[in-house]
Amino acid sequence: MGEKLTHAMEPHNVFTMNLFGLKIPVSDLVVTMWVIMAVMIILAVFLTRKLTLIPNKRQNIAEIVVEFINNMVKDAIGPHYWKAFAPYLGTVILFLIFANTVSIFNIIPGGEEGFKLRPPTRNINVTLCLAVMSICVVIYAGIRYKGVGGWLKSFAKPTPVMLPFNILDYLIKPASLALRLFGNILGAFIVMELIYMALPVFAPAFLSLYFDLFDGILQAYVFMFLTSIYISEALE
Amino acid sequence: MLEPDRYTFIFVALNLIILFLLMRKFLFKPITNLMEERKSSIEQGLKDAENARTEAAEAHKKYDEQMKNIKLDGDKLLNELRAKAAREYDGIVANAKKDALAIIQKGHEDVERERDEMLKQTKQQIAILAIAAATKLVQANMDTEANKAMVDKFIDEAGAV
Repeated sequence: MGEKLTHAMEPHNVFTMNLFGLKIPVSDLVVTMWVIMAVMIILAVFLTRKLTLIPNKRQNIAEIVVEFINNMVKDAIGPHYWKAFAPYLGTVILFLIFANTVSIFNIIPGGEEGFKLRPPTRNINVTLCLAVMSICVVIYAGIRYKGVGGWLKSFAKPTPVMLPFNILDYLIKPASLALRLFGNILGAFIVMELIYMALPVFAPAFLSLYFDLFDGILQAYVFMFLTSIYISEALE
Repeated sequence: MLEPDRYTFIFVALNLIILFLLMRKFLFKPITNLMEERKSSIEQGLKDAENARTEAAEAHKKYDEQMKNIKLDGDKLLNELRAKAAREYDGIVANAKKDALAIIQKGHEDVERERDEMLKQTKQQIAILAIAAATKLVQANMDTEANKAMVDKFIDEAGAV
């Protein structure tokens, strides 16, 4: 049982890419991410085909999603700068919603050894990368809208005594983002794997509503919300 | 799950950037632009409707004023005409009265004149009659002084009538 669990938790090499003699292992995390990206891009293109001022059904879905994200970003960042950050934050939340809940779409038949759709965010490398990207956006926001000098000065605010803490902030923020997401998703993933082992019928359906759907969407929202809060702090 | 893996890290970063660019191009930019376009078009439509409403209200006001002016002018004209008609009527009536008075005056004068004429003729007739009677009387007894005086008196009296 422990071995099965460890097997499910660990990333697996799906294939090895050979780039200029450099052997690059491609794990199932990356492959799952590609699948999610493909789905998202196909959906985005499909839903926004033939846009008109009077929307049809497909366009309505896209508009609801985009407006929801735009409003969230507007609330967090304010009416002046939201437009620059809504696409990135929207991409992150949509990707995380898919990534965190991807295990419920696991319809590919195959045994334990075959490829399975498991949340890529159960791996610390993925979440850390997302968090580092988020903090890069925060730094970009500070430099882009306050200038390099203004951004550097913001380290000494409100008092110069805060300087070390402000510097630490840029390490703590991505670390907390990454670990929160990683821990939540891995925890829910382990619980669900255990439930699948203990009660394979009926119970997983109900419990996955909470552990996969609710927890996944909530963590996606939290990640995006915290990123937007950090951006608005950097813009102040 | 916890081992650092730089390839996964790099892959995720590249994937995220590509995904961000594509999502921005295909989903966020067109939809946001479209919604802003729709918002502005709705605002424009509302503004146009408001303008049209204001114009209609103005036209209505103008029309009302014109109607009022026309009514006032009509009333004025009617009053003037009425006054003129009254004046003319008064003038005609006055003339008619004057004419009638003149005619009546003339009638009176004619009647007076005819009466005078008739009186005069009657007087003459009476005088002739009296003279004839007197002649007859005189022929009977014209001698006495008393009779002569009586005849004179009679003639005077007849002349006075």
